[in-house]
Amino acid sequence: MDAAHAHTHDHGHDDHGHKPSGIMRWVKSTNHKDIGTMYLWFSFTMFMVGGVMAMIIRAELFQPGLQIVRPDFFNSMTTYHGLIMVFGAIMPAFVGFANWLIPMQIGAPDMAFPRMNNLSFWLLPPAAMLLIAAQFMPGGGAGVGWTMYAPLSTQAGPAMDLTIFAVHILGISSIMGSINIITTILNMRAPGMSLMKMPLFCWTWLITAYLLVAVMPVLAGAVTMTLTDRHFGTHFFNAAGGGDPVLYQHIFWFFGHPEVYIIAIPAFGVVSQVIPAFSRKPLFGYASMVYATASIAILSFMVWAHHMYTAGMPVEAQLYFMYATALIAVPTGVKVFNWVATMWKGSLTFETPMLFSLGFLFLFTLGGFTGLVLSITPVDVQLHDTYYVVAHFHYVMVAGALFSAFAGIYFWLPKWTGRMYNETLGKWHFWLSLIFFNVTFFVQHFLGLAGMPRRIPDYALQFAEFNAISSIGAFGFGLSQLLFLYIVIKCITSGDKAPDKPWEGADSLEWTHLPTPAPWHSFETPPVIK
Amino acid sequence: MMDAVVNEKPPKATLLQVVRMLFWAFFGVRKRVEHDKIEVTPVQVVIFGIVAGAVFVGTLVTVVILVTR
Repeated sequence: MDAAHAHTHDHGHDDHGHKPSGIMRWVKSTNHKDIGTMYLWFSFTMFMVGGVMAMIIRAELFQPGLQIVRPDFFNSMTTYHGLIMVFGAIMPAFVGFANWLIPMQIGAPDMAFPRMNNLSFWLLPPAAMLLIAAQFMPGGGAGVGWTMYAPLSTQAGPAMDLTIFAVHILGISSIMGSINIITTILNMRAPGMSLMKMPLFCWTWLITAYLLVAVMPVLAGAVTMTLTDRHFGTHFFNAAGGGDPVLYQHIFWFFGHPEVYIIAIPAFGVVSQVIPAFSRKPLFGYASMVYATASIAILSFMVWAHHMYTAGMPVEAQLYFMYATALIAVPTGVKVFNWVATMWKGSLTFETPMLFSLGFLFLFTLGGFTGLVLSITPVDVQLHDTYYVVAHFHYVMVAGALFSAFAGIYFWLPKWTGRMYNETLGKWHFWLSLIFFNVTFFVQHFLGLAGMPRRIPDYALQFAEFNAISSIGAFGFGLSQLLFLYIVIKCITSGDKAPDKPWEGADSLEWTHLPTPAPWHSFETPPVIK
Repeated sequence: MMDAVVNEKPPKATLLQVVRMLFWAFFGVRKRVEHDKIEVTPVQVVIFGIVAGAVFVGTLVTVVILVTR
């Protein structure tokens, strides 16, 4: 790794000169860093859109009774909040990280297919527009839930067609992005950068990309069958015509469970870069982390029906899916153990990226535990479609994936922008997010245990107090994210100049071999890794 | 039996060695001794992954059959 700084001199001339300017720099970009930046801003924009929908949901649920929105609009909000956050915010955020970091971390000049990379990104805005335009179709948005179950989805209004098309486009974008990532990692590593020397973030994305290639076509198939059921006289999911609505659930969750790991595994990768850097120790059990990640990915294909215990299945199938699901705790436990062992006897400091990683570690583990609770069939039969499930997956998606994304953004922002963020404000952002997140979602466990169903705009009086608390937390959490936007903009416009390696424990190529900010073109001559 | 081989490419591993190493990998824990001694090709990993997945499902189905009989 010490062939190092010689390469940085090559880049000076690239920093100016032939870099295109104006809007066309972005529209026609084939540069992995520019495309990564666009992915990240797109995902933040969608995070705000999905966040506003969450605020509408929590405003309506602040008190029992119907005060603010109509029930069908409420259903539309829960649907598009889920779709936009999963497909528009979290997935593109991690693809943004992949674009920015994978070429730099493996010593490649760019992604393998730069033009396809451009198309992968530019498919996202039309898909987002379709999801938003769906709100304005006759009858309003499709209140079918993000899972788009039949028969609701086959009976919904024209908004459903826009939603289906949006899912198709997002799937195409994801598949192209994945092909790009797989090819880049397998073919463009610098000399000496063997697979087992790659930073763990690259490994997690390699595995995630395979998951995406495997399951996005399954989702596309499910929504295409929904489309043909709606318009072309097929009866895949229509019992009256000999079809089966439960078939949809099986197909959807064969995509849906790996999808959970598509979101979580890159988050593991980010945290696996941040925790060693602030522990000033190498990652404990690097190889076992790689294998545990691969194991989780394989197991994720074998557990899908734990999402549908109540849909009707033989007791043998319930037992199989219960056992298989519980066993995912083993490789996940290996990962949590390794992160803790990395910190053990390390020289820890607690800058904002580390704080978010620790928040991830605590709260993702809690979300994993509630997942284990839900994997137990007789328990799930009680808790299915209650707020316990809502609390569980928000611990995984928000405190897991989103906190990890925040950790990554604070960690790499100096490398991306050349400037440091304000550490005090960053810490404020962390503590406000951590506290308001728990105020919002911890109480929802108890609402679920007490029997409050999800996806309803009104509820029985005994749930009033905890819903009020949850709504207050949600508004606090939402407002805290405006602080994040302010921190990022302030960093870009007037942050202090960052050194090449602001984190002394960071050891991957983008820190050791490249100046700050990372030049527009890097590693035109591959570094030699020893 | 491997002690004689130093400073050379690891010898071709036996099937048992590959399976043993990849079993630990599948479990999520690495045994250092196993890894440093043998080299595994990507094809072996993929084949093992598919077989191990099938064995995993098969084992659980067997357990299910036993407990529901």
